[in-house]
Amino acid sequence: MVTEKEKIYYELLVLRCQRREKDALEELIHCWEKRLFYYVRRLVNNEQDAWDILQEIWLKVIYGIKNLREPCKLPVWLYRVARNTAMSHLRKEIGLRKVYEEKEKIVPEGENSDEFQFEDAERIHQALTRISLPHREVLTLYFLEDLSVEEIAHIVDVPVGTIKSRLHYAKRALGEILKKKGVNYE
Amino acid sequence: MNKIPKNLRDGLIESEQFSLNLKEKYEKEVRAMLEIKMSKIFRWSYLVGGILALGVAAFFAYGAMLFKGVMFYKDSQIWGRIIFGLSAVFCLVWAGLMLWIAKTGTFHLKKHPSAIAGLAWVGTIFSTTIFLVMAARDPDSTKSVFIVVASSLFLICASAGFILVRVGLAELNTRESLLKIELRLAELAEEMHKKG
Repeated sequence: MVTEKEKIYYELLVLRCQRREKDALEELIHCWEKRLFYYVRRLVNNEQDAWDILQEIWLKVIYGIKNLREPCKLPVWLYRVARNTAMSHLRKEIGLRKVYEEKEKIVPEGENSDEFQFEDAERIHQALTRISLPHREVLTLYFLEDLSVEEIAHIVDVPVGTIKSRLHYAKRALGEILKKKGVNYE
Repeated sequence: MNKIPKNLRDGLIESEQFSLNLKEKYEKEVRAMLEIKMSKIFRWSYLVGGILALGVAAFFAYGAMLFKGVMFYKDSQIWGRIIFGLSAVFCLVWAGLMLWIAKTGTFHLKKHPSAIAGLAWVGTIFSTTIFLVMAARDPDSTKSVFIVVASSLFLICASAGFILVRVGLAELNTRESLLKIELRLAELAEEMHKKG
């Protein structure tokens, strides 16, 4: 979750960006480009496309940040811009429905308390590529940011229950891949 | 709430492989993007505004040199020249600002609104003063009253506009300063918390 200090920092940064201060925009890009690139890269297969999408995201951010009313929600807003940009790219390229269509399974009550305890980021990074796109997406957001389930639901634009379900199955799928690779996973 | 350790997050990001060529190309494009340029229409309108202001400045300068007191009264030659001269200077400053914005293609939200509001304010004071001088020297009292009322209205509208711009900017500056203080306090609180 966003700390009080981060909230203030985001508000200040957004205010400076809204005043079109070049330093502030550079700071914003510097702070977020790695995370956003990682997220976008998990959504699209081609690296060139990922860089192009990231560039498009910054263009939208530079011109759209003046309309951001709640600066403390900067992370959620950035991920939403990133997702929308990546999804319109996917829609153009291969047809989003084809890629994203998946029947949601309902998670039984009490099965949602699984926790990750792993140390090998490199192996998780590789395993992420082997799970389905909807699962990979929510798990990437879960790993990258301290976002609440509600915030992830807002970014992905699906109900909270769906996110819980996706997270549950994504963790399970990732765990199975890691077990096969011999990584200690609980 | 998530319980993802920061080192896992950083580790994942560090695991990402990318082509240096593509990254360099991306960085170049983003750097160019950060040079926030105004649209061509705006740039051209500032250019046209600047050229017009230059033309008006030239007209006033010419008027200041040739003024013979025919516009007001025969004894007002020196006043006429001062008024025309100051008008020429005012238009020159205005033209300079317009042409500078058109040349750089950037509108700095921190500096330019202040400069434009300040110039408009100086212009208002200046023209109101001229109207009042004219009113004072006019023997027709009805006309004088009309000039005073009109210039007062003009002054009130300009004051309201100027105050609104200044209040808006002051609000933003105050908010920025307060946020800086709050951020520093939050950092200090965090440091103290770490030290126990």
